[in-house]
Amino acid sequence: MRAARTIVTGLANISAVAGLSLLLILAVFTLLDGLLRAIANTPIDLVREIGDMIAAICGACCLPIVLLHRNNIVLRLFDRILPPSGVRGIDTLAALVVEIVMIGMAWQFGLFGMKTMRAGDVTWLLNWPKAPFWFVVDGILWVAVAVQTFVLIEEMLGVRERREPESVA
Amino acid sequence: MTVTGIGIAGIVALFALVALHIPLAFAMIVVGIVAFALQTEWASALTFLATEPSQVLGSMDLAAVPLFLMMGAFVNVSGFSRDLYAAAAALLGHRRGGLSYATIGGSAAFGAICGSSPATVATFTQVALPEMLKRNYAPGFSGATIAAGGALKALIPPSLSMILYCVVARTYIFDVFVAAVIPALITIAANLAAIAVVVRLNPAIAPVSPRVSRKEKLAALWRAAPAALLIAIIFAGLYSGVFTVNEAASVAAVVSFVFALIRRTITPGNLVSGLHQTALIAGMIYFVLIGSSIFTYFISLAKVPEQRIAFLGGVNLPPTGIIVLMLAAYLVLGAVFDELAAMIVTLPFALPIIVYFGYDPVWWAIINVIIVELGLVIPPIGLVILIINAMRPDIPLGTLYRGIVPFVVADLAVLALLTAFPSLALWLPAILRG
Repeated sequence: MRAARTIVTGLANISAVAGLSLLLILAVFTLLDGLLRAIANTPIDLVREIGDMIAAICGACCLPIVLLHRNNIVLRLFDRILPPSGVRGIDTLAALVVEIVMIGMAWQFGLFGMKTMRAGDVTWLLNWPKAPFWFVVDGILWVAVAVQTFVLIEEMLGVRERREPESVA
Repeated sequence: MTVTGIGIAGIVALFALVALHIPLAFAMIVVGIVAFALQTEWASALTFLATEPSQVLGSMDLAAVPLFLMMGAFVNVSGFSRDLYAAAAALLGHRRGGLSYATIGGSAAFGAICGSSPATVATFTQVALPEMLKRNYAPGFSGATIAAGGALKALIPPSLSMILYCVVARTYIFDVFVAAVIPALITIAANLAAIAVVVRLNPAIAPVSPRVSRKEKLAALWRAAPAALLIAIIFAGLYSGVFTVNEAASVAAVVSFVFALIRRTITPGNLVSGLHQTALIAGMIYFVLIGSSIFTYFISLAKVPEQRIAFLGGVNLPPTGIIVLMLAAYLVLGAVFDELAAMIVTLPFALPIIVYFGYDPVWWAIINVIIVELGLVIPPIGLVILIINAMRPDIPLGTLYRGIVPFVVADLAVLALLTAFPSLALWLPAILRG
């Protein structure tokens, strides 16, 4: 179990750091695009062409770590009402629902990528195929599924550490 | 099942799933998909699991959220909060309650370059609280000032609450940022007025500090110059129309990273930790927005807003009365829910009602953000109060909650003012739109 935790934690952490580093690189290009547009009237087409798909990859990279740390907004009504075994049962059920939704999302995203590939969707100016970007997002969603599977097993075994979610505001 | 039946069953199911510890985002996804499938077919409903995440994750507007959060992480390690506070304290510290004024001013300025209220409060609890306690300020009053200053962040552009509102409500982010300027200034003034009244009524809680020399003042202002420059870049870029919100966020993240590198305050350890924290919040926001996006389809198909409007149309109340009822409902909902989550969940129901009664969605954004701000300080959740208490357990929660009362009164007064006079928020966007 400890080895599995190390692997899953590593996957989620690396995904988060890689995704946000990529976003920072995109930000540098966005900044350069703005400067070049203003100064030399020569925008970097790449930014507008694939910016949204890179952003999608970066956003997807943030999902596994949220699942690993159970950082989603949860209203914990039964914590003080039910005995620990009851709370564990409810938490396991909740983790199972999350797992099912994540599998559904990864599965449907794969179909979405295939559909984009079959339709031959390409970017507007550079004619780059869009499907590979969506396949990368799908791959990250399957990583999220693996992370959630681990979370579900931990809930079932009752060995889950709990932490307070980070706030949005 | 009738459309009304599906609408009611969907909302009941949402609450039941949330009560069963299912994360809010996933409860919205499940209800949205199942209810949509019941009204159409499963194959179409399941495609939402790909189309909506692709829209949300690929939104360049939303990419501003992790970028602003990253800026907050870099700014935190750069020590900008300390510099801003020191400058404000050097200018105002010699007045009675001067360090409290400095905390509100410093928090408001820091709020413009820090991604979140809890981060602002955590930083100022480390920076400002020891300074205030050292000069014999009352602990409850000091903590409450920091909480009020941190909560202000919600109303100071670039605010995550505003970006999220605009994404869900499909409103122009720029309009909301512009509309927030006057309400933010009024709120800052109201908080400063609250301090002035409190220290006048009870001078012992905020003793006068010695005046600092001109040389020290200039030195403090010089140290705060990089932070001021970053604020100026973001605001000038945003409000002059040179940057889009995404570009402003990109510039903010890159420039704050460069500042952290120049100051040599960034290490591999705090960089990775900052990125993890950013991913935790950004990922949670993405999940909630994917959920909200799918849930909105169910609400539209079940005609829930139309039914609400028909119901409210039958109630013998003027539009202002309806708004007051809605605000009261939000404050009650905030007792069990994070206000921001409440805003995202209820927006698809609430916004059509607001529009139906002739109010502007931009104005409602500002009202919602003030509610979020209030939710950060009022019990039983009062997140920023809990953070201060967690960092300084020697200041009891009760003392902090008592200390925050004047600031809550000030915020409620601002809320009442903006409800009575929507033009306070809408005047500036109207001028800029020409």
